[in-house]
Amino acid sequence: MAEQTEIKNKNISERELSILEQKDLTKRDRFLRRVTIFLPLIFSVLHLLEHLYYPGAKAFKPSAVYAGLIGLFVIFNAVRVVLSYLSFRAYEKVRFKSALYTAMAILLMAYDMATLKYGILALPYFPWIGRVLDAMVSDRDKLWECVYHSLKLLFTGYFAGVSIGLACGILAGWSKRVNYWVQPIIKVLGAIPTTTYMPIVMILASSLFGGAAFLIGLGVWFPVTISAMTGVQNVQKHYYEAAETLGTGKFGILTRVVIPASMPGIFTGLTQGMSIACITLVVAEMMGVEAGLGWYINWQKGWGDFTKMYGAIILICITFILVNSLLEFIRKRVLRWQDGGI
Amino acid sequence: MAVGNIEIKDVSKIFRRSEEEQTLTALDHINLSIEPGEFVSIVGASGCGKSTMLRIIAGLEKPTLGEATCDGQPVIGTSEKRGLVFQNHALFPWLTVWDNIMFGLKSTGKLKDKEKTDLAERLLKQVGLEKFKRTYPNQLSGGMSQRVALVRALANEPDVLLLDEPLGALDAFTRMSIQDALIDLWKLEENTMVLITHDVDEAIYLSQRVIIMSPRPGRVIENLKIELPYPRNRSDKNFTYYRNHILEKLDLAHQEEDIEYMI
Repeated sequence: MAEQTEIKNKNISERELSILEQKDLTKRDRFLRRVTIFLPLIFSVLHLLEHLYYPGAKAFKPSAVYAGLIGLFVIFNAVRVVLSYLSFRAYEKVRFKSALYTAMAILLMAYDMATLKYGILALPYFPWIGRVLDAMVSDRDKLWECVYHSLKLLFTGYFAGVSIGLACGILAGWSKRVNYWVQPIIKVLGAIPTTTYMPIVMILASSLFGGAAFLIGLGVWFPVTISAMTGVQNVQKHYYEAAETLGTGKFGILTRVVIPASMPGIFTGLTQGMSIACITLVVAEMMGVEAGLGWYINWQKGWGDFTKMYGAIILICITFILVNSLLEFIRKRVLRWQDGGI
Repeated sequence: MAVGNIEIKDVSKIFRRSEEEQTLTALDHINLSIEPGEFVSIVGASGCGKSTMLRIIAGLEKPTLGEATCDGQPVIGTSEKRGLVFQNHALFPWLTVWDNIMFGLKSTGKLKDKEKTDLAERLLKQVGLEKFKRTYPNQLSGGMSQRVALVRALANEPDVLLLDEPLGALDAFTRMSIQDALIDLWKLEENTMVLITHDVDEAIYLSQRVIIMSPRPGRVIENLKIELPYPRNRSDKNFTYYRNHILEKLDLAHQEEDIEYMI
C-alpha cells in the first residue's frame, strides 16, 4: 500500500500502473499468487525424487533418460521462478502457465506411481514413460529413419498439393472460364475423403511412395483450392478499382492485389490441408508404404511391442506439432499486417 | 499547355434494375466542361448520380449514351492520369504507408525516378505523416488513412484528381484539417480537382465552381461560380449567401421530385 502513495507522476511506469490496477487485492491474494509461481518447481522436484528413490510396492530400476528429462523440467521451472522476479510482465506470464505445469508434474508423478512403482496399470499395455523413452533411445537409428521417411513423404505430398491447389484456386477465383471447369471437379472430388482411394492407388501406383504422395497431395489440394478460390472471389471491389486508377495492369492486379488480399483465406486452407496431410500420411504408412512412423507403429504392434509403439506415437506427436508450429510461424510472418505489426 | 481538361458530352447512364422490367436512369443527358487546373465540386442529394458521373470520368463505368473525354481523348478504361480517392480510403492493408504510396509508381515503372519519390516524400510531409512511413494502415486512424490515400493518388501526378466523398466518413475537426491540406496540395500540384460531396460547406470552402445536381433522373440544375478568395472564411457573409443559395436549390430539387411521385 505504501507503494501507491508514492505515485504522483502523471507519466507512471508500467509497473506502477499494474500496482494501481491491483490495489483491490488483499494480502492473502498476493501471497497465494506468489506461491503459485513456486508450485511447478516444487512438484517437479517431488516427481524427480519420487522417480529415483520412492520404493513403492515392487522392485524398480529408474530410467536415466527419463530422470534427465524431468531434471530439465525442474531446471526450466527454476528458471521461470527466477524470471518472475525480473519484471511484472514476466511475473504475470509465469503465473499464467504455473497451474498447467503443476498439473503436468502431478499427472506424470501419478502415472509413474501407477505403473513403475505399484503396477496398478500393468505391462505390456501401460509401460512407464521411462521405459518408453529407453526403448526409443535403444531403437533410435530406426526411428530417425522413420521420421525422415515420414517427413519426406509428408512434404512431397503437401507441397505438390499446395502448388496445384493454389494455381487452381487462384485461377478459378480470377477467371470465370476456369471456374466453369474447375468447380464441378471440386464438387465431385471434394466430397470424397482421400483415404477412400487408398486401396486403388496402392495397387495402381508404380511406387508406393508416389501413390501415397499423390493421395496426400489430393487431400491437400481440395481445401487449398477452395480457400484460395473464395479468398480471390472475396477481394473487395475497391481494391481493384484503386489499383486500376493507379495505373496497374491486369497481371499487376493479380500478383500485387488479388494474391496478397486473399492470403488470410489461403492460410486457412494451408492449415486445414496440413491436418488432412498428417492423417493421410499415417493411414498410408499403416496400409502400404513400408517406411515411416505409421509403418513402425503397425510393425511393432505385430511384434506385440507396445512400448516401442508408444515411442513412435510420441515421436509422431512431436513431429506434427513442430510441422504445425512452423506453418503457424510462417503465417504470422506473412500476415503480420493484419494486426499492424512492427 | 495545361492539361487536365474534362468534357462530358451528352452523357446518359441507364442501369438495369434487378427483378424489375424497368430501368433506372442515373444520369440524364449531362453536359459539363471542366477547365485544366480547376477545382470543381459536385453536390446533390443521394441518388442524383454524382458518384456515377465521377466513375465515368475515372473510366470505371462506361456511359450508356454520349462520351466523356479527357484532354480531347475519349475516356476508355482507367488511367493513372485520372487518380481517384475513395470514401473508404481503399488503402491496401498488406502494404505499409510508404509501399501504398509507391504502388502507383511501381505500376507505371517510375519507382527508380528520384524526382517522383522525392515528390511523394514531400506530399507525405505536407499532410504531416512522414513519421508513419513504415506503419500498416490498420494502425492508422480514419483521418490519417484518408491523408495517405490522398498522397497515394497524388504521387502518380495525375492531371485530374477525382474525389468521391473522401471526407464523408470523418469527424468535423478532422474533416476541416484535411480540407485545408487538400487546398495546399492542389496549390502545390496545380491539377484539376473534381470533388463529390453532400456537404455544401465543404463544396463552397474548397472549390471555384459548384455544380448542383438533382436526383432521379440525375441532371445538372446549376453551375455556380464561387468568387471568393482563398483561404475562405466559413462565417463570411458571402459564404453564407452561397450556402443559402445552394441549399435552396437542393431543396427545390427535392420538392420537384416529390411532386413527380405524387403524379
